[in-house]
Amino acid sequence: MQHEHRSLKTYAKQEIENLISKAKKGDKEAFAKIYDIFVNPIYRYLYYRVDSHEAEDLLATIFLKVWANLNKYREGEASFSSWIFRIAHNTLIDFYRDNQKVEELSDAVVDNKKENSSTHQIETKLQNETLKKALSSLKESHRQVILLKFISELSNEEIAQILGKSENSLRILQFRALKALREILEKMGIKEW
Amino acid sequence: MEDHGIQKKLEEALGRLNKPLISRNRKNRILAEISNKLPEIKEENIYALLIAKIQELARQIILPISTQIYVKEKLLAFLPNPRFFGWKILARRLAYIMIFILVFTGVFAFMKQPEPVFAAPATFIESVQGDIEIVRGGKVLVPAQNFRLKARDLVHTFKDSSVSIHFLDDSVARLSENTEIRIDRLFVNPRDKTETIVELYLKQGRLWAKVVNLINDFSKFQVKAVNAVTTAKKKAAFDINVQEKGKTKITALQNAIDVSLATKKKKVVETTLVNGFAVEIKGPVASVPKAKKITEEAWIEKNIKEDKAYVGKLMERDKETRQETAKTTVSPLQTLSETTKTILGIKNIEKEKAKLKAAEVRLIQAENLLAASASPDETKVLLQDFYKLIAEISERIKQLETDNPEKALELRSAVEQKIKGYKKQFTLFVPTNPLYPLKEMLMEVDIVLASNYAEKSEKKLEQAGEKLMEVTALTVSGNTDLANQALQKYQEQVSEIVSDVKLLEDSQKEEVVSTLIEKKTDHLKILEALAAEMKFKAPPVLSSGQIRGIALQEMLEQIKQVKEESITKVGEAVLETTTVGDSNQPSVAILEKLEEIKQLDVNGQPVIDAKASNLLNISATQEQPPIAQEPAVVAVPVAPVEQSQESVIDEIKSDPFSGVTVITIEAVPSEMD
Repeated sequence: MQHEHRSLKTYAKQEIENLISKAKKGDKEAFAKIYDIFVNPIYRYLYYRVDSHEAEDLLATIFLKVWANLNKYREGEASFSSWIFRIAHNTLIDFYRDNQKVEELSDAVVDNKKENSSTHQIETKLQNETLKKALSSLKESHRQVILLKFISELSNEEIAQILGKSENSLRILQFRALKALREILEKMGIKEW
Repeated sequence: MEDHGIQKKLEEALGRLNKPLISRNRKNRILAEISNKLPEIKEENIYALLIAKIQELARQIILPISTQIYVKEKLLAFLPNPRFFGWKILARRLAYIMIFILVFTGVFAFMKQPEPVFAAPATFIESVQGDIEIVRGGKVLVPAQNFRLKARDLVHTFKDSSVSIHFLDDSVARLSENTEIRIDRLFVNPRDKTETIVELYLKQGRLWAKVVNLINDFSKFQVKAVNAVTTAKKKAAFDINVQEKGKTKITALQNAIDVSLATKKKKVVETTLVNGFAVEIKGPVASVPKAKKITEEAWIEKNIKEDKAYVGKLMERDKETRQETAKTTVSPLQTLSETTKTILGIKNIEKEKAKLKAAEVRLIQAENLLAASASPDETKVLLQDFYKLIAEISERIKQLETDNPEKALELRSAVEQKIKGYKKQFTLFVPTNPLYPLKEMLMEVDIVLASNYAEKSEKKLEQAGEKLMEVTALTVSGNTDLANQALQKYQEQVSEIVSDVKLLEDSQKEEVVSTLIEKKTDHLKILEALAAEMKFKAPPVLSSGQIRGIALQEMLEQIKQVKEESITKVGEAVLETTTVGDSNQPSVAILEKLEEIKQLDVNGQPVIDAKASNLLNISATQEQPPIAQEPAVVAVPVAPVEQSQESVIDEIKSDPFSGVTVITIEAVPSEMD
């Protein structure tokens, strides 16, 4: 079993397109390589949105959907990264709809947590759990852009395709999202990173 | 030259000029300007640092490698060809994947490796004749006996050479001369060694496969060729011959195999091939298959003989492993003092594990007595003790499920791994084997371990399927009476499960009936294989002296009856679910499963005829899910032949304009164990 540790960015578009072309013909080995390439970027995208066990479950759902819909993917219309993340995004939306109890945290809840949590009183440096909580209190559009841009490290062009926005408005959104995240982190007592 | 002189003079003049120097005041003014801009720069830096930190933290988020491998293996194992299936079927498969992932990541993560009941799973060259080559990572290796093979190895036989490969699931493949295979996948779940996957690609030549003892629904042995995929999920033997590009012949020689064929036009046929039938694909859709004679009996006979010897060898190996297991020392935890065990909270668990060891020892002692045909009474007591000890552990697990669920899972896993290990070994036993009582007792123990009624029903259905496999084995070996008894037993088991369904609470009915329909599909395949076996054995014309022939004819009739009755039972069970909810109809999931069973295709023909289909129809008025459009198939089974005779296949003409795929299905003699 070969496991890829290369980052998504290091794969040439053609390299991925070749794998897709083989996978479309039913080549499971090629699909396995696509899985290796995308598993961690998508896992990260899910990790900051849901519980880690749920992220693992959703991961399997997403890759099954990718396999089922591979023939619908058309080169040139959108990059494969944006196509696969679009599936991840839609799966996540379905998950929220089906699990109403998984409510996203509001600002008030975050503030509460800050007051009540001894961890937050001690921790002043940004850690993953804190980041996850801070992200959960962001507006959906802000959270999306941070997840896709800085966590999954997609290009602006790809994010624009996923979110259906122009690249210019995306740049503005990115700045606003970072500003909002910074404010939330500061509210949580995190001022160093 | 003149230009060069001017340039040199100019350089010298420039060198003599005074260089402008920044004054101290000017320098300070610039510094002050920079200082004024510092907050702005700092602000930008903050965001750059925040981004860098987010990226650094995100890169730490990696799905654990073990989970990555596991999720991938499960995904690949459950992926159907996207050309055949839609998301609906995938979604159903997803449910299975979820269960495996949950069990793997949530349950087994904290568990210790169970003690082995198995010989270590390995894939190696069992025997080799003549010149063969292994290509590994571009390097050519010349292997000898016991050479360990890995996934991605290419195995190549040359003229007058052959090789036999033992796979990690105990299956064996024999390659004829001028054959080339690639080992695509070798997977064994380290936590449950009955879960295995073997995938091979037969590039050219001829391959015989004997799949010995797969007991897990997840497991499979699969051989792909350029235009065909053959999969065995249970015991089976089959032969694949890739004669030239685009011409592949697959023959089932024991039980049933699933076959998918793809032509150049990507038309796809999926069917189940039962023993004694062959399927051939010859490339373009419009090509007309030619009549053929079976002239390659030597290869088949040789392999059947070798399979028998191989199975005997495996049984001997398993016996030795069991003897060794019974001798193995107690676990290191058991050597701790009682006080330490109590402090660590492992005392009770270890006590139960010691009980498990004691149960195993009883089982092996009973085996030794059975093998020596000695002391039947003592054997009986030992087997009863075995049952009693496992029943006690099962009770303890049920108590722990409330008090300490983690410990309950640990203990359940330890016991189930042992039982599964024995099940895999004992699946080779038929009622004529002196050790058969061990298998019967193991079946009872398996039921007592079920954690709920649905699991109990599933296990009973698995056992009913195993009973059908025994019927086939008994029929092949000529034990018609015993086969008859086993068939009746099967019928009783199915009736019992359906009767039990009627007593269940509504909340449990649907799950049990759903499993019943799923397993029934497998049972129907085995019944078809059995019927095929009967047809080959029973002479078409009976004379007064053909007593055995009469018995076989009667049994053939009985199989038909069992098939109809068991389908009626499924219909009855489904009817029970219509009382659940307000709609008075089965759920969509049940209806979908019924459609699957109705569309079951064996040897290119539907198994469920109109009459049987009516038995499954619950209500004429209820809405049925749409029937998936399958590619058209014409499959023509040819009259059975005596072993010594040559079979002549009728010529089949396909309609080149209708897009109908043509398959020739030939009858070949079958003499499997």
